[in-house]
Amino acid sequence: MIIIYDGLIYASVLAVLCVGLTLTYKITSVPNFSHMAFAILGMYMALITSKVLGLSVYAALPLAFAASGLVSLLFYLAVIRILQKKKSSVISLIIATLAFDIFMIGVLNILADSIRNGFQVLSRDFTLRSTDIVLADGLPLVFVVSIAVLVGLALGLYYLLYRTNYGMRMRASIENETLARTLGIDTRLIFSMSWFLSGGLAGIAGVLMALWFQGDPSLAMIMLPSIFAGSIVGGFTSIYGAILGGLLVGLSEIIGTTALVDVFGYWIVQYRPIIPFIAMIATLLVLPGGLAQLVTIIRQRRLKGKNA
Amino acid sequence: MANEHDPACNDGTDCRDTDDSHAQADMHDHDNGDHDNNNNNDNDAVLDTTSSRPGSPAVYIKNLVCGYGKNRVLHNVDFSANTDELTAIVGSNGSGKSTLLKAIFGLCDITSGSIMARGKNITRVPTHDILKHGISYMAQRKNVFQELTLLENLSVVGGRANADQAMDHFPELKPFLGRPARTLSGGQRQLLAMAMMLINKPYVMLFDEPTAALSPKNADLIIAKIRKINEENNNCIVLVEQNVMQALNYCDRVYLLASGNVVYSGDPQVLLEDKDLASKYLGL
Amino acid sequence: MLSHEIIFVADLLAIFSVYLIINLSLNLEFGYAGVPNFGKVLAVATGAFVMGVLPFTLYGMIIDYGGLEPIDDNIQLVREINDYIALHPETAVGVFAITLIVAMVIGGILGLASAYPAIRLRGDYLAMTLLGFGEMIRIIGMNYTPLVGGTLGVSIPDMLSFVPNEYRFVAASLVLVGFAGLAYLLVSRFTKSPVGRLLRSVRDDEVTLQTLGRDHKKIKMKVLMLAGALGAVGGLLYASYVEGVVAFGYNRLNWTFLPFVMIIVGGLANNKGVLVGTFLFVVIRKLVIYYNDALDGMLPFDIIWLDYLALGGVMILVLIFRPHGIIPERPQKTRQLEKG
Repeated sequence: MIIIYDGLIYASVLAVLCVGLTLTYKITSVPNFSHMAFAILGMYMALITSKVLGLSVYAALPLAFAASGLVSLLFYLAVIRILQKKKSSVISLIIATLAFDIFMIGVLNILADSIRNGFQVLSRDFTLRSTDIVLADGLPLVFVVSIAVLVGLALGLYYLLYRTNYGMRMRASIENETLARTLGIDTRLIFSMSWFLSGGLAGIAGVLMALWFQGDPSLAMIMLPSIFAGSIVGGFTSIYGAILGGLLVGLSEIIGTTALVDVFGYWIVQYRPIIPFIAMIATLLVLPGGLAQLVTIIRQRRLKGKNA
Repeated sequence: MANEHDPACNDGTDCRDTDDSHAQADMHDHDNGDHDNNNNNDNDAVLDTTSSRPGSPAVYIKNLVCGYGKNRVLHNVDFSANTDELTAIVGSNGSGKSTLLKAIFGLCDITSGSIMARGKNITRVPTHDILKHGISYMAQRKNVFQELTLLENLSVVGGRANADQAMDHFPELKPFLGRPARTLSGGQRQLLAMAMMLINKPYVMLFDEPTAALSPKNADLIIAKIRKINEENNNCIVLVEQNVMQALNYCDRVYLLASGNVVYSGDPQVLLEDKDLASKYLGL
Repeated sequence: MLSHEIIFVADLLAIFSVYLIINLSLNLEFGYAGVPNFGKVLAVATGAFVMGVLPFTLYGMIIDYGGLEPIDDNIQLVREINDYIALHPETAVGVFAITLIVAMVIGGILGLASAYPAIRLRGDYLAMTLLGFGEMIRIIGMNYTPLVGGTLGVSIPDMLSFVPNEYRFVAASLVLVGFAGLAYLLVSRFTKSPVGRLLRSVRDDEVTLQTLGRDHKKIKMKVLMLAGALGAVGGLLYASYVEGVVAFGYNRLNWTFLPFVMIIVGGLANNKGVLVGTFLFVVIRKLVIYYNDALDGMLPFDIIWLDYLALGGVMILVLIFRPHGIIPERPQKTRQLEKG
């Protein structure tokens, strides 16, 4: 049973992170290498809420959303927007996000040290699993919440994008920024919102992570390839691709490793981070457009079939 | 003649008006080759900035220098377009025609100069606010959202109610309202882009080569539509046109650009009769 | 005993030399060939890992270990090899040369391997892929114990054991400076050649790049191979200088991000810029570490994290305010033009 919890919680969290990464990539064309930092900020919001403030961890969800969202927004406004105005290359933008990642790792470690020294709370490799509410039959609440968050996110984004005026403008701005601006849409607002949303979602993902796995600033480096892998497998263009890609990579990491342990022995567990990397390379070489491209191909085949 | 032309003005910066009479040009007209930076203020006093009566300038550009990054495309250009008139901008590729329209919409980097619209300075107004000043713009390419349906394309600009209203002018688009714009033909796409422009009832409409890449039949249809809009709404229309002969036939006034300078402005018929200019810049 | 000042300067020069070699190699890849190698650590760690493995293997052929294992009996074995080197300096030169060549070959092969995605993928995807490459080597190094002792790391023999104790530190530093000088000459010769000029001229121009087609791909592969080999030399020298390899030390911050900061601050596609940028950061970091102790205990957190804040912050500020570095890229005369 634990493997199902492990797999689905991890996969859901990863999918939420992939959605955020894809969102800012698609809307502002920035592959954000500091995305994990927002998630870890969320983790520490969970730790503070639970161990310092003595509240339920779930109270950290809005807090983490706001905190990570704001940091992300600030980063976008203070750095990315300025660089984009100067027409910096995508590689310069990537270096800027890497730099911000390093900066945030410093901030998060200082935060971790300060929590430990100020409140005598274990702040590295910590888990809040024991504070979680257990539902009937040993079902942890975080399991239900993780899946609910992912489903809610999928439905919510669908509603936002396809059922509201704001979403329509968002889609318009994504497709053709210049045209959107000449038609009176303030794309700056939409781009800023996408960074806030992306960071906020990562914050929520971080809270959920802390409720089941171990939280530590070093996760910023460890999990980043998984998020990229999930997003690329999903095609890096579609929100639903990102959800599917994230789930796929997350599940194959956990369940794939478990399966490999049965075959090769326990030592293989340590090589788990290689799985997302293989998924990413394989996708880029075989189907660079990811699952989204696959869907397009299938659609076209079907159309051809109908015509014939 | 008013439009006597000094060839030395093509690239010169020290050219002065060789003829001060400007018989046919209206009084706000800064024409042939006055590229001097500072001596061009004499017309300001008479500029009526509030009125939108026919024949008064709806867009008025002065000493505009702009381009992309370090690359300057327009060098000290003066331009005005009047309400109720159809103004065409012609010139060869790379002469800066499209850039002039883009400058109005803040889509290129303005080094110096000013852009006025109905008396308000809109020189560095953000692109998304230009529409509020009653100006709309249609890009040459990519002027509709391909992945959005027609109805969504129209709603993005002005909401659902206005979208329905705009459809009255474009009955030929009605059957496709629910389809994504990428499924439209070239001509239909231009019509949709025009419908999107019209939604906010602009005073000034800027078209960047609306007939490029269209069949002659479709091109005629689009031009007819534009002229009809002009007649019905009495607004100011500025049109960048590659097809010079066509443009000169239907426009009320023409600007000829070469290498980022205005080399002629005024009556299109006069330009046609000017053998020197016509052969030099229009290949006639 | 050596004075503090001499140790300080010798250490500074050694670290500077290591980073100069790595940065020259990164500048070849990123500055000249336009390949954003966010997995620079891969080549560096490869060189270090070779240095952590091969000398034990090679000395195993010369002397009888008497059942001692390089990883399990690490300290004891290193002491025995060091004693042997003290008596037979020529073996150290031979072993070091072979190790160096092997590291360069493996580094070159890895560089060639990175050419495969580098030619096919566009900038952002390539960056992610190469970053992943770099992470992989760390995972393998940390978990595959037979390689370099896993998380505990290994000590390695001191190839300069034959030098008297009091001079050894300075000698090691001088050897590194020698290598760095050689690398600098080699790289500037290469970048001033017509090939280097061609690289720069097509770096930012996709169309020309496509029309040049296969030839350009070949050049790119060669450059990446050379850069990979050079990066491995840097890692190897660092490992031999600190006389040990600890896998988790080969992280993204020190061996990918820091080199990027150095070459961007110095000025891309400009070897002099690399020299300046490298020197600047090595000195600053060295001074920070030197005066670190003064601050220790005054802050409620580990001072090392301030380093992260500073590096990340400086990089962002440079990107915004001085994107072309201290010494911007300039049109360069090639050797042939100078002759004419």
